[in-house]
Amino acid sequence: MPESESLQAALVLAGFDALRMIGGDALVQILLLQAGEQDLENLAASDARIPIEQYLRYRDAALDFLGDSFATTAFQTGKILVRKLEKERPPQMTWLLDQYKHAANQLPLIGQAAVLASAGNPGKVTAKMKTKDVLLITIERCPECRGLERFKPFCNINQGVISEFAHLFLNLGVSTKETRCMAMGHDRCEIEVVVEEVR
Amino acid sequence: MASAVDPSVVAREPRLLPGFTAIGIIVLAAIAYSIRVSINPAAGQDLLTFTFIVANVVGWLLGAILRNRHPKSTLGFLLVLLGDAIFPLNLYAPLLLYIPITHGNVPNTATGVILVGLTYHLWNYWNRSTARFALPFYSYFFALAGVAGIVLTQFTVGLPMWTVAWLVLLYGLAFNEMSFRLRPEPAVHFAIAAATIMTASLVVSALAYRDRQPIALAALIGGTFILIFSAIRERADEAMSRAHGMAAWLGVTFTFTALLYAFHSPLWVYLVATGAWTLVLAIVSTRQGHGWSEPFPESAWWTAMVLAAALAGVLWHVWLPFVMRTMSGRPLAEATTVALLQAGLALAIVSSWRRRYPQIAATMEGFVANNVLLRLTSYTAPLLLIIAVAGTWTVLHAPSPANVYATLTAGTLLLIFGPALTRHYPTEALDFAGVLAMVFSAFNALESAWLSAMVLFGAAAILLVRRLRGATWWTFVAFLALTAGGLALQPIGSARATVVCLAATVVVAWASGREAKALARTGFWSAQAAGLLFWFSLAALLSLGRSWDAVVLATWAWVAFIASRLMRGVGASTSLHACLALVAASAVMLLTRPAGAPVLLIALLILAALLLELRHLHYAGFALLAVAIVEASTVGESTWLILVLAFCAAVLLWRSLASGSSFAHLLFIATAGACAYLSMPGRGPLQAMPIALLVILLCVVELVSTRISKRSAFHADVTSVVSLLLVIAIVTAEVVSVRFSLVVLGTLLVAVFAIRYWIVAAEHHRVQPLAHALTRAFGMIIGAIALVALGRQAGLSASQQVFTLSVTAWMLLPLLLRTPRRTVASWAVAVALHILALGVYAAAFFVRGDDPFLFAACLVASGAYLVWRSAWNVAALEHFAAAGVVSAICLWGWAQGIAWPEYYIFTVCAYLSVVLLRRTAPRIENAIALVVIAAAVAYPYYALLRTTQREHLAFLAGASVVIIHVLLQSRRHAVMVVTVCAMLGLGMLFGAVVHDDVRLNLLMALVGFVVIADLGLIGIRSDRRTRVGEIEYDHNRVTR
Repeated sequence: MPESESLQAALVLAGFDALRMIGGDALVQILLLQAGEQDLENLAASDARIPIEQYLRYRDAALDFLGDSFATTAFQTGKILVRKLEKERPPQMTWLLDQYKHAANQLPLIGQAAVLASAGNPGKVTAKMKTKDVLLITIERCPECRGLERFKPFCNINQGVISEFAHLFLNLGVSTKETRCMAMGHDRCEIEVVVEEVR
Repeated sequence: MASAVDPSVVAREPRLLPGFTAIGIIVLAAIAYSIRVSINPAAGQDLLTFTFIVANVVGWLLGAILRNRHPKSTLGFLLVLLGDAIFPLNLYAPLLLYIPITHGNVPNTATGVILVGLTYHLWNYWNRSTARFALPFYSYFFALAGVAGIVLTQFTVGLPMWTVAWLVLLYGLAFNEMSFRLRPEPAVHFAIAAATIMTASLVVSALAYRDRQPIALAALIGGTFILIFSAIRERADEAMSRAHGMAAWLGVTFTFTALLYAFHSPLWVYLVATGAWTLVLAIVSTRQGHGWSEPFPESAWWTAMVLAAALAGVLWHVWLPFVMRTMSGRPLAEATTVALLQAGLALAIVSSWRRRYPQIAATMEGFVANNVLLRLTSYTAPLLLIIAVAGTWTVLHAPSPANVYATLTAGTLLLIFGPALTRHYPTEALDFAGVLAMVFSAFNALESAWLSAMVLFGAAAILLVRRLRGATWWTFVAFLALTAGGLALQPIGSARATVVCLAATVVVAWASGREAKALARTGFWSAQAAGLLFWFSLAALLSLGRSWDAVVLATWAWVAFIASRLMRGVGASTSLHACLALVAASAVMLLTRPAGAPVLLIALLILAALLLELRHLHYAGFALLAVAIVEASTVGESTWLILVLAFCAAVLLWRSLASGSSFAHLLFIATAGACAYLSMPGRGPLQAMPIALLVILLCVVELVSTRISKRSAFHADVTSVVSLLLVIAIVTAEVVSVRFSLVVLGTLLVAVFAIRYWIVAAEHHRVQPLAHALTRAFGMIIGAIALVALGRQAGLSASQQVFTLSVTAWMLLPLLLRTPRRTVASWAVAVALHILALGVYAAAFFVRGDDPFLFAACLVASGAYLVWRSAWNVAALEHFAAAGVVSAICLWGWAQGIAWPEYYIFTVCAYLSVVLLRRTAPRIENAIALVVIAAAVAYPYYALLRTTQREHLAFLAGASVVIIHVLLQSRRHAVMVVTVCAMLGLGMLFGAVVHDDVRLNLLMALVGFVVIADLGLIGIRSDRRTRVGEIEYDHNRVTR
């Protein structure tokens, strides 16, 4: 693992928000105490970056504490992350939406947004149209499930991000399915995205 | 390992960029020298060969020592890089000149250098943990050097071309296998390099097939199959597979072309077939790749773009006559039309498909590149189709001229139906092509200006309608531009043009009223311009000649003024600004163009009446009325004077009724009337001096009465200002007429002191304190001029008189330093000193000549500024002092007959560079740096390109070395350094191409060495700077 890998603090802040929805500030405190990462609480700016090791300790603590409900919380974290982005609405996003507004369907836009958003973060995200109606997002060296061994797919934050992005920015209902996951011993994670509903 | 060419590294270490430029220049010099000795080995110069070898060895040794001490030493890195970069060239020249086996044999020498280079870089690559070059370099070097070495075997060993083709193919195959199986670092670049070799093998095979030998064709087909296979094999990685895919498509293209060649096809078949193939590639690119076919659709698009561009580029001399009237027809018109039609359709298909089914890029760079390429495709397709339409029109013998009607039809259709296709094609690309077609059509119809104009107006009308229906802002801009084009074609002075201009004015103004902000402003300005054109046309129609232009401008200014009163918002403000611009233009016209008295007087009176209506400017109206009266008095006919005076009286009466300042107006009429009377024929301005003095005396009396009776503040202010203005006018008249009458000056001196005494800085008078101070200042100036006048009478030369004036500046200094600072009095003395010192500079330039008194005068005035600067501690005064020194140096250069503008420019820039280095002007440092770059480097660069004189190159070299030092030392923005480096590099390249001169090579090498040495010096200083506790500043001198 390269030493310089870090990710945006916005992810952790979104995670706190998701936890607060379940158990308030107390739950966040307990988890941080368990992870030995109390200084994460002082993260103020969402554009700050934190080392991935710090994030992984926090994730493991949350996983231990939450058990099966971790998946739901992670999915919710992804959604909160996108909602914050929607509020800021960076000009690049408007430009990107404008570029793809005449496309036959919006899946390529979701794929392109996933690729561009991953720039500077750990792992390598690529996307391509598997068929005309199925988008395949591939994540190599996925930071979300790094170092885990599970029996079922684990990358719920990514799926939450994709679903909420489609919902908020494109007015689309999409379903996501993780077909390969590094936590299950695959060489990379793969998420298939299909449009279910046009609102 | 971080590569040296990594942008982030360059951003951290600004010295790298000038260092690369310096190395580039030295390499350029070495290349130029190598080419020279290749053409003529007798042109070899031992000195230059030795210089390059020494530079090589010193670079390596010194660089190695520095890197041993500090592994991250920039200078060490640059020196080693210099050694590496010129090493092959250093090998080349001595081998060619001095070694018996290779003496005079270019292929053998080149092969030897390639072999040594390959060995050396293989060794470097083997030890790549300490590699000097960025790793991607090695992949391409091994690929291209290998190919070059093999191609040279046809000269060194005498191999036939088909053998060479097979050897290159085998080399490509081996490289490709090595790249795939071993995946040497960096894998992507090695894979792309392998595709490059294979493409090179296709080119060599195609060249070998000139003799139609089947074995060469076999090499071509074999290479193509290998590429198809390797593209499929590399499909796991997008970049590698697409590079191989594109090479494979090129291979198929080469193969088809070779088959056409094998069957002795005529030229038109190649064109039509290439167009058709482009179309096929475009259709392939719209297919979704799966599994083995994944690399091919995307690369088919790239290949289609390359082929379309190649077709358009190669056939430009055939298709240009389709759309440009300046060239006659060429053969192959039909084939070209078909080929361009196919290529245009191909690109249109790709663009339309990609709009509906966009690609997903793997990186941000890829995303940007995709967008750029797609936009290029979208914009190119309709342009090619327009050309094809014009060609078809010609081929089908449709009504001529085809280049008018065909482009007109295509443009109209695109502009009208473009928006309807927005779902399938970018509207802006169709609009762009439509407007361009219209412009071409109008351009081609220039023989009938009316037809041209109608085409442009037609296009403008379409765009206006589209804008009104909600199209984007640029349609309005295009509407304005096309309308302007149509108006520019109107024959001013004809009835039709007058009506057209009027109609355009109304339409543009109406359309602008529906816009907002900047668009509305631009529209209203355009409407004003169209209106002015209408007004000029009407004037010409009424047989008013060009001498009436000032009156035409002035009257339209009235129209604009009335419009500003009638309109609201942007329309009102724009009309008012247009009115002011027209007033200024009319005034300039009056000053620059000779006109008869009636024109002059009418224009002046119209302008004066208008200015009196404008708030804040009505004083200028009074002045213009006065000028009109004076001008009328010089005509020599009392009728004109009476008429003008009557008009003035009427205007002033209107003015006084409107604003109530009747006393000031009556006083003005009285003064103007007196001046007019005194300036009547038979009395010159100088004869009028005593009367002007009398008026001043009256003013003094007026002031006295003001003080005694305490009348209105306005009354007192006006009187003091009038008296001051008269003083200035008389002094100016004395100096400009070079009379220097001691009597007048003496009388003035007395009058000034009297006025000053009677002006009271009373609390209710607004202007009086200022007038009081200014009177003092002018008293001093008059005294100084009187001294000069005395010297003049004593027989001093002009230079000595200037020197006397500079001495008077020193006489003022004690008074200035004694006066308490930041008071009106000190301000007044400062003004006087400025006028005297700057007067010295100006007078020195007027007098010129090789007289030491002149240079001394400038230096003496400069010294006065320096003393003043040190006493007041005002840094800005340094600039005035520097102006004196710069003046002296320039005057000396002038006297010596130095004709190179660079001498004078560099003098100024030298001082500005000092300012930059001293950081005495923190707020405008960037502006100064830009001025220095523009003047010191851009001028010799421009002059070099224009005249090709090598002296400019020498100036460019010297200036660049200094400016790079200054920019780096003063920590200017990297873009500035890049600009200077680019100009230096391009200038040197230009010099090397134009001049076949060994001394120039030596100069280039020297410049490169000096830049690198300077970078080392800057680095040493930077390293020695104390960093502990240091406060770091940003560009605005704000602490971080």
